[in-house]
Amino acid sequence: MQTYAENDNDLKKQSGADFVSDRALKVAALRSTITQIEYGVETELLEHSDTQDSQQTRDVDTIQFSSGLYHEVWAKRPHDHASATGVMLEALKNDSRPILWVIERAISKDYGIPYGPGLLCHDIDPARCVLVRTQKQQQTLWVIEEALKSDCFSGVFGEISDITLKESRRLSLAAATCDSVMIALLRSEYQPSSAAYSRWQISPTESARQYYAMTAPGPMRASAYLHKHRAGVPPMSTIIERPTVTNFIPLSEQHDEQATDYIHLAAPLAG
Amino acid sequence: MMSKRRIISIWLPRWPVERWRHTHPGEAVESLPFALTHTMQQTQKLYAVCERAEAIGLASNMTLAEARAIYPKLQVAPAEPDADARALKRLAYWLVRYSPLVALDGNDGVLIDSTGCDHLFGGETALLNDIQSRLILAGFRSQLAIAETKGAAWALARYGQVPDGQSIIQFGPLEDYLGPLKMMALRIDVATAVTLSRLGLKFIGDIMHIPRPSLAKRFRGIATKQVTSLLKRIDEVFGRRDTPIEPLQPLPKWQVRQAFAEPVMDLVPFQSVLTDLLKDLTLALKANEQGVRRLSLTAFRVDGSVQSIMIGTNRPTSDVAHLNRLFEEKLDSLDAGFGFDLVLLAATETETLPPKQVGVDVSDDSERVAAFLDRVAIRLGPGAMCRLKHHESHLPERAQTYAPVTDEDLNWENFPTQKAERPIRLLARPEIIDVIAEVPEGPPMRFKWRRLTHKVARAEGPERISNEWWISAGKRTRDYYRIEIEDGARFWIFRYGLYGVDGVRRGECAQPNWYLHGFFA
Repeated sequence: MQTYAENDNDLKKQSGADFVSDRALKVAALRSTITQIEYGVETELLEHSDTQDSQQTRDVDTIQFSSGLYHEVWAKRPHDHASATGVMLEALKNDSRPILWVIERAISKDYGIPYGPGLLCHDIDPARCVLVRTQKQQQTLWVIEEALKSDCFSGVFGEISDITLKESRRLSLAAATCDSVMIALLRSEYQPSSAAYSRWQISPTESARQYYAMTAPGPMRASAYLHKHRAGVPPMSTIIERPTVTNFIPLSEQHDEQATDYIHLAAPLAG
Repeated sequence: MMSKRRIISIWLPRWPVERWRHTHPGEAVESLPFALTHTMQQTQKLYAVCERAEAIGLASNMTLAEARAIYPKLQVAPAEPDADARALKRLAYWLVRYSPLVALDGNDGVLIDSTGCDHLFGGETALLNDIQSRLILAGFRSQLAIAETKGAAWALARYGQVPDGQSIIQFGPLEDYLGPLKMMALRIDVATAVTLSRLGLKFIGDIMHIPRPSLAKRFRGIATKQVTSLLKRIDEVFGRRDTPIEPLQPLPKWQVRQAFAEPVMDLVPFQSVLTDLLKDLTLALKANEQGVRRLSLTAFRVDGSVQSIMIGTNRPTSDVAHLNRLFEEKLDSLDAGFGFDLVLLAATETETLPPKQVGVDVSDDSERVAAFLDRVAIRLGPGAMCRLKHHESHLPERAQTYAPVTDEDLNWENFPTQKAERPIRLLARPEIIDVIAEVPEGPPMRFKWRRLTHKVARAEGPERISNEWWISAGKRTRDYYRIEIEDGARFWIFRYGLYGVDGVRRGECAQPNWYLHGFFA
């Protein structure tokens, strides 16, 4: 009897597990159908699992921010913000249409404003940028939505500190009506629940050593972790690296051109 | 030959007193004499008096002591000349409902150039009646005159003995109307009037037919200021010298208006009227190949106050839907109160807008960008938007300035490319950091920024940037370092000033500070 009872319990457990498995499959199928309806993409039925994360090293161009969709780039720590900006800009370097950059004043005070000479290093013409500085997040979201509806920018960048599901849904609907790349740079400790098509967490990583200046920082290098993708792409992490900085030469090669201002020694010469 | 104009002069004989009563209701008894006082040379004098006070012999510029001697129970209050002037200006803006050309006339009058406007109100008599009745409703008595010249209208409004306070000089000879008026109606000073009176010239009619040389002879043949001024006034009154009026606001080239039979309190019907006005205005502008750059909407409330909204566009447009949308952003700021009875829409700034070819879609990104920026400017203000502009300077914070979105010359093509890498983000104000370095002039080993300590893994520098001495003398030299901390984040920091050793100028020798200025991607 005891054995039977144990078997009975096993049967119950088995049937419960089957039920959970069926439910998960149904949810995954539903998600796939919704994705197919909304984006016209065939997806695999993949479940979220950390074991499926893959570590790859890719060129920057492989992270695609498709137009007509709302993407998020997440900077978890304060000093992730600049790396996230760099990754965001890579999406638009091959376009020539204007870029709208919306920044809340509080964020620009903390993390700086886009700097033209730095943008040139990333092959972005600063003349393309139209900067809108807002007082509060509500204004930022309004400007982004209006820009998306007007469909006249190659990219719309919005720097925000928080977003709700409703707000992100509005943005994704507005993004669907236009041909712009919409990226929200989210500077927040926590990931909010949002309707973004994809969310990449960006953080800087140790740069590659330069052959002629071993102690100097190398070109941009950041790690990107895909937290969500509505087309069913599984979570993954990748390394983004810019091979060189265009048109700019390192300081180590500039010394011949620099005029010496003051020549002095820390200690007097011996003898 | 000057064109025939019609000028309305409105004189408010009791303006300071009536305005004071209007703003201080119940503070003075209506049935008793009342006067406003001011202090001149440490003496209290009467500034303005009411009708009752005038009837008992009180007048302005009389000392208060004299006035009290005549009537001990005289009610007095301090005069408010600044408030009077402000209120008169508001009244003048309200009178824009009759004509766009309205000007202040001294401290107690307003001039309106009503040329071509009277038919909108049913003729000149109806126009004057409308102005006067509205002023009476607001509590202000007035005397009005309409004439071909400013001087004639002014003379008739103040010195014409008309029972109902209205005078109309029809087109034709002015002599018949002005002849019986006193010499002071020429707007001459008292001394000249007294001199003329001694010469037996008491009325304007007396002087009209005297030949000019003969008139000068009466002043001993000397072309004094008195004679010159007198002749100038005569010429002004009779239209022989042009006297333009200085309007309160620039005269719009294009204006449309809509008067309501009943006051409109709800903004929904107001909006539909606005759409109709926009259609009318843009149609007229299109016919002249013009586009709107700036529009002003002026709404007149039944209580006499005026509200206005101004919108601007980045490029000339005649798109009604776009303009309507820009107004929508601001319509909420209008307070209808007891309702609007008139609305004026004026294009205060226009530019040439050639017609587009029919059937060809010429809308491009720049047009849509301009329309979008107009909307943002209306909601957030034009200062919220800018473009990055290069300024030729060695100092990083000066190398980038901000330009209006309409500015096309952003100068980035002149930015030197052979430079060290620059950060992608720059702090508007460098933040001070605590730094530990191996040697005083070496790169930092550790630094503390926003209460967190970071260990420097790699560093490159210094890139020395000297102060632009021709702009701001006394500033110190900066040594910039590009550093990377252990987790890979890269910063742009600088040491401000040099350590004090021989050969370094004195200003540099103070203890150098470290600052964080930017972030690399």
